[in-house]
Amino acid sequence: MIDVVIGAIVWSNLLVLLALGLTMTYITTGVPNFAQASFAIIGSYIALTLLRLAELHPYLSLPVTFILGGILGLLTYYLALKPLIKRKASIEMLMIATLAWDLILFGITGAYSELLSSITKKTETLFVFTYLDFEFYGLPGRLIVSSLLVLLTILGLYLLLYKTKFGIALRASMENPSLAEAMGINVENTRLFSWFLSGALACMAGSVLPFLQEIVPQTGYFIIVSIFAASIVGGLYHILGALIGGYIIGISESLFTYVLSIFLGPGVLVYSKVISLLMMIVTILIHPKGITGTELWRKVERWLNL
Amino acid sequence: MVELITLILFFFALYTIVSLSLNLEFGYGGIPNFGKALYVLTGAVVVGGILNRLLIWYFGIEGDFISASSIAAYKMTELISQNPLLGLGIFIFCVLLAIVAGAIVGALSILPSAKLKEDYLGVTLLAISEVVYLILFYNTEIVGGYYGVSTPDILAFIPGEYRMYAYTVLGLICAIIVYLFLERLLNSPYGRILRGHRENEDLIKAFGRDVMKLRVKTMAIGSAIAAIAGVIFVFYSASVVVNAFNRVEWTFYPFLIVLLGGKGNNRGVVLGAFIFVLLKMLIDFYKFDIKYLLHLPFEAVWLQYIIFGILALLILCYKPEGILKERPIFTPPIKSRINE
Amino acid sequence: MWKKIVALGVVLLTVLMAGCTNTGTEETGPTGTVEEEVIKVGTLVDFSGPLSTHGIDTKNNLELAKEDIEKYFKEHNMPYRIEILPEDTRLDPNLALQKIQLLKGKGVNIFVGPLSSSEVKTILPYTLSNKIIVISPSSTALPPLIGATSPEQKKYLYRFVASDDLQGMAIASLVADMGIEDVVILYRDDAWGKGLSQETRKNLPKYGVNVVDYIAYPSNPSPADWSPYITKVEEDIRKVINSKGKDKVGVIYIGFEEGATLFSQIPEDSILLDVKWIGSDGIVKSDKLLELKDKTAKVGMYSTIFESEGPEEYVQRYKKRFGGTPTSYGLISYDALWVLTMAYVDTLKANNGKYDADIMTKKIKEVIEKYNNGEYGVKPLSGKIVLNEFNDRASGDYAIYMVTEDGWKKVGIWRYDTKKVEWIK
Repeated sequence: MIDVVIGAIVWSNLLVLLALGLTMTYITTGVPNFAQASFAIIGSYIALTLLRLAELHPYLSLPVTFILGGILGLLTYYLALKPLIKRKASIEMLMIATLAWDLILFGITGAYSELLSSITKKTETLFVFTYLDFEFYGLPGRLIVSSLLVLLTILGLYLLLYKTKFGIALRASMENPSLAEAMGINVENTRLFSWFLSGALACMAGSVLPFLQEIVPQTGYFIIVSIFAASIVGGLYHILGALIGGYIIGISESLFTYVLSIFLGPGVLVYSKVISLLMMIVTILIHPKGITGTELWRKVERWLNL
Repeated sequence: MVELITLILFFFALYTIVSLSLNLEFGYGGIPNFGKALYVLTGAVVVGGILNRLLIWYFGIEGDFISASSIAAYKMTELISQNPLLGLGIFIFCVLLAIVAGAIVGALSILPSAKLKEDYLGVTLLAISEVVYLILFYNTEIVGGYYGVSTPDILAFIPGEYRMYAYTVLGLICAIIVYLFLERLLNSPYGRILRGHRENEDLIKAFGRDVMKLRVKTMAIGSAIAAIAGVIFVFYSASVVVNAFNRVEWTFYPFLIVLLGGKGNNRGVVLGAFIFVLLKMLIDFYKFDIKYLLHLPFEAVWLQYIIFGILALLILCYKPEGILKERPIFTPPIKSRINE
Repeated sequence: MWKKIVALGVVLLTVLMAGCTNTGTEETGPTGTVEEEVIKVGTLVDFSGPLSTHGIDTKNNLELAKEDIEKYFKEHNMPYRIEILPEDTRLDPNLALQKIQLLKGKGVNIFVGPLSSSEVKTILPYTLSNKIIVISPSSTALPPLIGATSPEQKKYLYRFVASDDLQGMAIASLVADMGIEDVVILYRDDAWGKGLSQETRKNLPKYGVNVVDYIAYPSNPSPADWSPYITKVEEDIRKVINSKGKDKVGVIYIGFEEGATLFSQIPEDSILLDVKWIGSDGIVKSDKLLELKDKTAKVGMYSTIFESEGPEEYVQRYKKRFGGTPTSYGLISYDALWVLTMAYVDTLKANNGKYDADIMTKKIKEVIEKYNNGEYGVKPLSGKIVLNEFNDRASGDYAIYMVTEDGWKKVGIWRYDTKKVEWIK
């Protein structure tokens, strides 16, 4: 049972990092980014490259993946979205644009994995890092590292958003872009910031992901569903929504499914993704703005004095 | 060469049908139906789940559903090769059944929209479609899941090497019928109200129309049409395998086509479907030559995804309102005015 | 507007036509002196999904086969050249069908692939109606499950691998031979995993082995977090271990390389590492599982694989070129290419230089015979090829491998004739 809990927490931590990016870019740019999962896979490949060619342990290469991921996020904004936003494209067009971008990233990942294979003389289209993981007082390294990443990210975001001038401007332009613009705040900066962070966090999550599951170029296609579910259940209009949603979805996918399997038999286990999807549907139907959009949450927020 | 052209035309027909149905819902009705794949799948389920069970029952075959389907499909194919009318009869029967099933599924799945804004509606439909897809994929009892089931070849009376052409012709005929039907439908008062609903819901309400009823009707029609495409595709591949009905091919591609051709313009969508399929197949077809030409150090398949993605972005960027813009409505009174 | 578009369409179509005729007539070899005929072989594999390791392995083996065959052509002054056209089907049956049609449009009549049984099922009717010759190196579902109820339907579709019933028998017999009385089956929920696990499950009671639990895990995608499955299997094992003891309990794992992730998530002190594990051809010689040998060597991972090792020098050659070792599906692909190209050449000779699928099917039979006898200077890497009336591999022995500290080691063999396991001392 304890293993189920540990596994669920690691997966939730990664989901939180991925969903944070999705929520942030949704708030600033107004587009649900279908390429978010591919960012993570690119992160996995960056970590793999550093491991194979520079013999850098994936945990140690996290700063590098963070920066490269940020650049990837910025590229996404500049190449795929900005030209369309300039032309006043509709939200559906932006969504389709992120899909097209996703396809490009998929192709690049595949081509790159083949190039890497020819250099390392190993098949690099499918890989795991799990055998590289360490243990600390019986706890797997991936649990410690992913939890630390989430904590650091939350702390960093809190300090940035609530303790600096830039942060205040950021929050203002996230909450009400047109008003913020009228007040002389540069909305473009917020967008750049959010895309940088979105890519960076996703790539970091991506370099931890191979400790949990095998990576193939197609992996992104499968995990994007969970990321969306996390962001939506938590609430797309609030950064903290990703945090709450990430844990709810991550835990329900493994822990809740497992508990169900005790009562309904092992056949239920294959439907774990169905469960997160159903939770997403129910959330949307009951309260579309997600958990952070409820009255209760507002009270909590006031109490926390945020 | 002939094969390539046939293939292009066949998928052009199929994507025309699906995209036109999406254009009705999204282009004219403003419903972002990101669950399109579900309705195409509905058509497949009608054939794999209902027709096959009827055949198994009719022939009295024992055994598990998947193996029994293989035998039933084989027996039926043998019969059809002797009797062309039987094949066409089965096709029409399945299309009618798919229309009914599609309409029901479509009408049911739009009910949540009573409460939802557009982008949430889109995501909900996407999620519903994924849920059904996953359940059908893992449960092999319903339509064979990942194993899939065989279905009869309804054109078995045509010699093998010409059958592809026959399916293409069949697909094109269906696409033309759908196009004509939709053009008529959208030029009726219903079509005009639908556009009005897209622009301003409250206005329609103010005129005393039931918005919900309008949406249910639109989704029912759209989904019924999409289900027809599912039926054609299943008979063409003579099998139902659930992973063939994924969200990329049957939801995202149709969206790309509608946006490419022009929202709210059926002629544009037809053109969009043609250009889309043509580009996709040509890239697919010539990727090996491109690879050799450029001496690329990786397989051509990757190149195909990259080129296709870039082209899609370029199109979105340079034709934001689609190839053909939405045309103003010409009601008979307006037309006579113009002619004067 | 319309005029422009029509014009564009016309231009595109002309380019297309021109391109096509070009590729069609391009038959001069690199020397330019001898007119070489190009034999185009389509390859339908997975490059990006869960079977991508096998997809790439297939491609690598085909490349080596191509070299060998072209060398043979040169030595015998035969004016042929092979062109391999690999396609990524992503295991999507719809794509597999589209790709086969597109390639046919490019003048390809013979194929190696597809890898999965659901793809084979979708292309089967097309191979029949359009007379396309296909050899799948790895689809193992029983013929009725892929929609073939009579041999006539599978006339043009060959599978150079034995179907699940044989391996199911081999695994069951292996389990019994190891003295195991109770097993838990953990299988990958897809056509391959279910097919093989069902055959195994069916055979186990005949050998006096009791199936405690039968657990599926998702394949699309395979789980990120394996703990629910680990815990489930642990509970089952604990139940029987108390009464029977550790030696009489085992786990049968029927899956692919995601098993490596599974093992990495099994805690060091888990009861699962105290019992024997039995695998299948899905994981034999997997480098990923070997990376975890501190755990996998403990449980043995006794895995059956269609007995086809390939001569040592071939394995070395493969290793030097691509790294790693060829899988048995890969070796089968190597054989498939030899059979396809030789039969193709014979067909052209017999039919005044014109290709004909029905002659080809007859030639394939003859060529297999010659290939088995080593008439082309090589013998099948995957062992003697014998097909049944469904054009599937009819019989075969299964080698048994296990993980040791020094890597995968062959420890026994299951003989088809005696239906018994012979351990290598």
